[in-house]
Amino acid sequence: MPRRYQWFTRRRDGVVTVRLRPDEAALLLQIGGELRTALTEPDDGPVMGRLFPQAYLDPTEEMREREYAALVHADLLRIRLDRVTAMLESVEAVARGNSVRTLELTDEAVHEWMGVLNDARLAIGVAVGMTEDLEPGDVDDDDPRRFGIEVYTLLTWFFSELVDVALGTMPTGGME
Amino acid sequence: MSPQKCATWVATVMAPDVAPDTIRKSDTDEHTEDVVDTDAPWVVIVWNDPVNLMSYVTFVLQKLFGYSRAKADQLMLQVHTEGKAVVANGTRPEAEGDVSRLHAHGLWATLQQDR
Repeated sequence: MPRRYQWFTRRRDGVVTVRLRPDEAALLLQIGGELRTALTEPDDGPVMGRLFPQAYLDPTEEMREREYAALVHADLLRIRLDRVTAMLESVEAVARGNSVRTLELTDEAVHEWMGVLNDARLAIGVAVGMTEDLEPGDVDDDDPRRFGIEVYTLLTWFFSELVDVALGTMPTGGME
Repeated sequence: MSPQKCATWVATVMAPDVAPDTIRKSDTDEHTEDVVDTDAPWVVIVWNDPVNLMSYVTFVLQKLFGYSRAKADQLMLQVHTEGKAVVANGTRPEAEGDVSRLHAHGLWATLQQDR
């Protein structure tokens, strides 16, 4: 029996679809918007450090690290902003509506959504100090991290469905 | 099914600094006298982190490197259990290209010369 998914499905014709309620779309809109704001106003904090990590660990490679950052960071930023813009455009209509909608995702959109959802998880994960097994119930209701951890947990469920569906589109064979 | 997080011995938000420091020490110990590049290949290393899902790491390794599911799973599990794995190697520009594509996918990757 194929697994039943709550949000993402891969139809018989291979097209990946996502079924969203307006409130779910609104939450994605909010999360994506915050990610875009963080990317548009980058700082030297740990979230940007995680989204744009160092390529070299060896301190004697400092010059190469600077070259890498100069060469790559602008492209990485553009990729991240483009995909969050694309995803927000498609969820916006659902968030504005008043009924459940099913969106068809092209292969490109699948990769864009995965990128955005994982970037959001990385950003929130760093912001709340996510660990391997931290769950909402582990922190008090009035803990400032509580909302972030709940959003992170929901995003993780949502994202893991998309990854499972996307993995199903990959060949099992390949380079060994 | 509960989403499995790519578990880690790295426990806090400051974690991304833990493993690199470990590496940095051994690297500088070994290579303090090296001033000229050798012909040794550059290796691309993926590090464990508390956010990236195991399934996602497998997906990215298949997508970027064309690995079979079995090979990608094996490398993902090595990252998960040993804290890191070499996922590719090549010239410095090739390794930098791989690292940048891994960074675009949110994986924590670095390159170093395999000396």
